[in-house]
Amino acid sequence: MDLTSLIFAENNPAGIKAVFQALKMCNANVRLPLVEATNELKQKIVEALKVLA
Amino acid sequence: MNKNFTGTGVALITPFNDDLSVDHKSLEEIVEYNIANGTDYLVISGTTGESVTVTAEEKKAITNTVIKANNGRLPLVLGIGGNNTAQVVEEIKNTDLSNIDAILSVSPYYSKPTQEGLYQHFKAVAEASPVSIILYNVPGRTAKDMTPETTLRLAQDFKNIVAVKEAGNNVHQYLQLLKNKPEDFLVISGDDDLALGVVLAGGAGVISVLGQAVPKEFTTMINLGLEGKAKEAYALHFKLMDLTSLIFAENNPAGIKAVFQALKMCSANVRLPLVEATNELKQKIAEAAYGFNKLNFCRK
Repeated sequence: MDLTSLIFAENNPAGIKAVFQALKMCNANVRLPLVEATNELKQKIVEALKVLA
Repeated sequence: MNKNFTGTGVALITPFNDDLSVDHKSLEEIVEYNIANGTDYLVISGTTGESVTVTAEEKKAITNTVIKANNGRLPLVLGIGGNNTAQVVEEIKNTDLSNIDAILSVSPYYSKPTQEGLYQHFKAVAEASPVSIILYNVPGRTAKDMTPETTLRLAQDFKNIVAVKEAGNNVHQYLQLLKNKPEDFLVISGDDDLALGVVLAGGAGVISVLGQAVPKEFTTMINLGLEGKAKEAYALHFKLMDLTSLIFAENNPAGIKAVFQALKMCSANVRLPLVEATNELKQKIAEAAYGFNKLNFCRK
């Protein structure tokens, strides 16, 4: 549930790309006007993923 | 240069013939009608001009028709915006802007960028544009509000971002912008029904939909507002109030085109997915527009 909220907290698909980045499956790059998730959000996403580890 | 965009700008419709091709002749006449009746500047290819269903080629032809009909008399604003930053930058670079005074650029829609994304988008637009930029915030259409913080951050960082057309129907947000804006920066109302209040609070004017059909009354109302004559201005506002509500009751620009049809200035044709106003609404519009007809200089 937390992860679900987090990936939509700023922008889709910036959130889900941050998940993939944390999983080391691809980078978090997006095209303008979208921007990557903030470092703060990325941190939280990394934390939330630990529950699934 | 900012003085160019005070008062009443109108977001021109694109009149269509019955085969839905662009009716350039009526467009010329609407330009002339506005110049004769006090409009301060013209906006080409906004939402009201059905920009989303007009081809790139038609957009060029429409722009040229307005440039010719205007013949240097009023400042011209051209809509160039989108939700793909790279494409917007490309269009700016590939457009002849020699007769254009400013670009009106809508905030990116549909993909719901963050405030930082909106900032980066308009940074790229500002750096690409050789002319002034009017930001356009219309959250009801874009699904993402550009906050006053972001708008004012852009205003401070880029000299050629000279104004915002704010159209959120949000009085508090207008006031936040007016309170905190740099002195030269213009706050323009994109809400016909709130425009007078915004002007009285320090706004620069309006980019209007209704103004193009009843330019004499609308420009007089805004000019009275700019002079701080609230009572006289509101008398006109109340006169225009029913018509203002009616033109947005179903869809813009179907409503304003119904006004032009009632004034016998062009057809009410629109392109899908828009449809003409219902007969019921047209009836109400014709009644509300009756009486304005003869007050304006008219071709017929």
